[in-house]
Amino acid sequence: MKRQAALGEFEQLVLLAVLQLEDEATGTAISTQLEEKAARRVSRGALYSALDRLESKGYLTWKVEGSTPERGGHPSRLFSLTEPGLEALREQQRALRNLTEGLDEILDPGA
Amino acid sequence: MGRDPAAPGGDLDHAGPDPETAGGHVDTLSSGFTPPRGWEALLRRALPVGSVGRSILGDLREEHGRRAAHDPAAADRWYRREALSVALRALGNKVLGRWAGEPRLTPRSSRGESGDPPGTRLMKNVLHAARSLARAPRYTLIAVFTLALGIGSTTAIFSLVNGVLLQPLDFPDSDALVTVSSSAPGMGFQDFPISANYYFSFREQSPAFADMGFYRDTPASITGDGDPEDVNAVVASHTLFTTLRVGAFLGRTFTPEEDEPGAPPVAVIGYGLWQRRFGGDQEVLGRTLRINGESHQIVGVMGPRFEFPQDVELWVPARFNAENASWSFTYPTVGRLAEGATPVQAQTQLATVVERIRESYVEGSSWRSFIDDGQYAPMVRGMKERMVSAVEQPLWILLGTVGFVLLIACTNVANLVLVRAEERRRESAVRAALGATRGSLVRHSLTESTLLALLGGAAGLFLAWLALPAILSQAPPQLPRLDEVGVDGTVLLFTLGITGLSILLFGAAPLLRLSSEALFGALREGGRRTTAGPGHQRARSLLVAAQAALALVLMVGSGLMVRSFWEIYRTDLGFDYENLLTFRVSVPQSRYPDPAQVTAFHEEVLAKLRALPGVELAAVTNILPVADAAPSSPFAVEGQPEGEGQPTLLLDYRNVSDGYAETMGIPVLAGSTLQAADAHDGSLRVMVNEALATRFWPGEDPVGKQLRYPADHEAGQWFTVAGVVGTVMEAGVRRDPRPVVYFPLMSPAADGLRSMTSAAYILRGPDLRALTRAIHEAVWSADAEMPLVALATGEEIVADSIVQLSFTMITLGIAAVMALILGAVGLFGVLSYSVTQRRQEIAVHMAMGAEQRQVMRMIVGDGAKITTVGIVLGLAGAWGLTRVLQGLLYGVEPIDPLTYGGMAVLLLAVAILAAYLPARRAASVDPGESMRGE
Repeated sequence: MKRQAALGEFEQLVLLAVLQLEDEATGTAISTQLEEKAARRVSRGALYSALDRLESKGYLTWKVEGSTPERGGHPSRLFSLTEPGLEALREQQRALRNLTEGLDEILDPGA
Repeated sequence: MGRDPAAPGGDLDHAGPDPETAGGHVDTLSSGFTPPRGWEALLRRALPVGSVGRSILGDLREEHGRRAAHDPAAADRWYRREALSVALRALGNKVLGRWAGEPRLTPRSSRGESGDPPGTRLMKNVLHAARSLARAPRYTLIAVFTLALGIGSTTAIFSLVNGVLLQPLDFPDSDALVTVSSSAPGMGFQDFPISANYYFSFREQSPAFADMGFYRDTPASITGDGDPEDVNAVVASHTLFTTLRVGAFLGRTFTPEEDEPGAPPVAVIGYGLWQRRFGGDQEVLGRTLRINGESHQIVGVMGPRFEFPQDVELWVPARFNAENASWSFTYPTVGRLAEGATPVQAQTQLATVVERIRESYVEGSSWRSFIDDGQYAPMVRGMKERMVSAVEQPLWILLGTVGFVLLIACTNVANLVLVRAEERRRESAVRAALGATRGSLVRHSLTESTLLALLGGAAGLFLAWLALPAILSQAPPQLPRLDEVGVDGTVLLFTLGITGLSILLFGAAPLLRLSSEALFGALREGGRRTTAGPGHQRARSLLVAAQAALALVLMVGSGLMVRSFWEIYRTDLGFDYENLLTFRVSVPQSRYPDPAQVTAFHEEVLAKLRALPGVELAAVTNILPVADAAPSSPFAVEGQPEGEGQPTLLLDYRNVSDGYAETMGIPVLAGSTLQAADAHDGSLRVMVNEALATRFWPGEDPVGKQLRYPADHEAGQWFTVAGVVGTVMEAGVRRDPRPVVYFPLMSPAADGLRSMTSAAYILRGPDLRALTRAIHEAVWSADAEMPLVALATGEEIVADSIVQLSFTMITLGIAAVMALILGAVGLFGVLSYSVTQRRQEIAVHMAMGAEQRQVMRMIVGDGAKITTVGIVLGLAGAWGLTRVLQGLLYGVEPIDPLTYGGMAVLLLAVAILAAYLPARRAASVDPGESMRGE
């Protein structure tokens, strides 16, 4: 049986960050997103290997963008979600919703 | 490494996320800021080539530029940290990626299974494996100990091979060093030194040599300041040091002038002698040393590691030039090849030089016929190659032997691992059902194997380190370069290598069983199976059979060695070496310039020794059989044709005192022995051995026959055979005995002075060791400055002569015993396990009326069957492999039916013994209980 590869928590955050950034999901931007919105400071090493892993699971894809002088002539990669990536995220969210149903008072006392 | 060490921690030393930059808009920067020097280059090397790597470089550079606009120093720190985190992961993935099946930092990768970074996962695996090993301490201990035995013995012997055979000699550019020696097959001489006068021609006329130097052992007694002491010394040409390219530790080596005839005597001393005799005094240079009664000025001290030739501590210049150089072929010579020259070229050049030397001799002269009849040829061989040639084969055989032990150890551990895998089949199946991939199960199993192997390797290294001094102390003293043996980097690398190899050998076994079919099969069976999977059991039986085969090969090998040893031991050496004691003295020429004085000294000492109570007989000679190599020289023999075209008759000769044959226990076959009076008055009587008599005068009475020495018509004198004595195995049992002529102590022909200056005394009597003190005093009463050396019993001398054989035999024997024990343990393990597994089956048998004996016979029969397969394989293997022992064997063929059969029976007996315990347990199964138990 072909099982869908599991999605780790950090991987889930990365996928969400890519979605948030729409067309501007470069490595740097994803890193900034994670720091700002999820309060996650993450080393570039960890980030790039997570991106790699997600790509190899078939959840992410990227295209090469042109370079700027600030980048020392190096190109940049723009990441976007694939259909399976989106599906995996939805699946995870569904499971989360199902499991959190009726627990609002406990999980989000402020609301 | 739970978190990347380079990841930003809680308190950051760089500015927090700046709202401006965080927003993602690009500052217009002057592009003056570049990442810290070198770090970008480092990162580039670590990253995969292509757009992935380059985009990461670009990301980091861009961010660095942005941060640098605010705080350049903090930006640099940030860059270094992040670059390191990326580089470590990229490198880590490069190294581990393939092995662990991890995704790599490249576009193409395989599937992973969790979000953990790979390093963390590896660590988890290791911890998991360590925990599960700790839960099975008996299994772990046995496996680690078995591996340690295998790896340890292999490492120890490899250290020996490495130090003796593999490491280059301890001289600069040692590859260019060669030895120059001679062969004269026409006279039956394979390899002997050159003469000093040849050396001068060789050195002068052969451009293939950059330099050349000779040496020759010389007796040296040091007297004056402190106790008289005999040291190992050589006379050497001053070029010996320049050829080796070794300078003095203190002072200098000889100058060319000091090596000229008539130059004032100087000496270079070894480090050990300097420490011992001069207490390491820096002021030693210029002081004098009395060597053989002559004062030598010390000009240099060699370094602690310089030992050439082996064990020598004193060098004095030969003081030869081309005119006065010795014609005796007793000068070992080393050469340094010129840039680009090969030993073969050098040898060819020397052959043309020899041709020139030949031409310079008068037709018909003995030196010319030496070259012609002897087919004299110079030999040039690599110095290291020559040094180790005698020990090369036994050492490789030993390494092969312990390699076998390692194989057997790995087989044993493979068996253990298989049993464990069997026991854990259900655990694995459950884990697989819960979502563990086969990859993770394989990884787990491999990690455990690796951990075991590493523990075993470390323990083995420790064992080797412990055992090495013991091995070295047992090693034959002829084994060169022993001081270079130790655990060094090469040895460590080797140990790591064989540890890795052992992982492959025993770690692969359980992997084959981790197929998904097998896993799900285990679940379906629900653990209610009666025996292990038939395939599994067969695999383990095969392993045991392989072990038996390997053990048998080693047993046959060591059996052959033991038989050789026995054959040598019981071979009659031709003399009675029990109750003999020998020692040597060297009579300094400076104090005894006249041969008559030397003879008088020996006669006085002999008289004193013979007067000692407890000494039954005593004699003196210059050549001790078995221990010394006898000199030989051309003789003319009565009744043998001589002259043009006739072969030169080369005979061994030596000088002996009266009572020699009697003291040695050599039978007198005809005539009479030499008498005390023969040492005087220019007696022309000699003794010959039986080998000589039967070779030249078969069927005739040898007594009264004549020999001429030297062979030359002009110089030669006729000697008359007074008696014939039994043939002694002079060069040990391996060499055919040669014809020997015994001259009296002082004979007109055999240069009495030179030949008796170094002498060996032989005493016969019970328990002579107890008389050591009295013997010393007897010698000292004749000359108080005479050192006694090499005090040894006859047994010791004989044992020394076969030490190489006994070393190989003992090592091989230990390996064989280890192999036998490991093999027996393996068989025991397999049978025990199968009995446990077959309890139900056995119970059924017994419930149906089988006798205990029948059950036992069944189990023992299983063991015998497995072992028999191994024996058949092992005999075939031994048949193929023991041929390599041929050169070491004596009196027994490599295919010796007795040894083969005996060892096979022994192995079978041990196997049946190993099967007996499990069989008894099987027979004690209570059928009722056993069947209820399930």
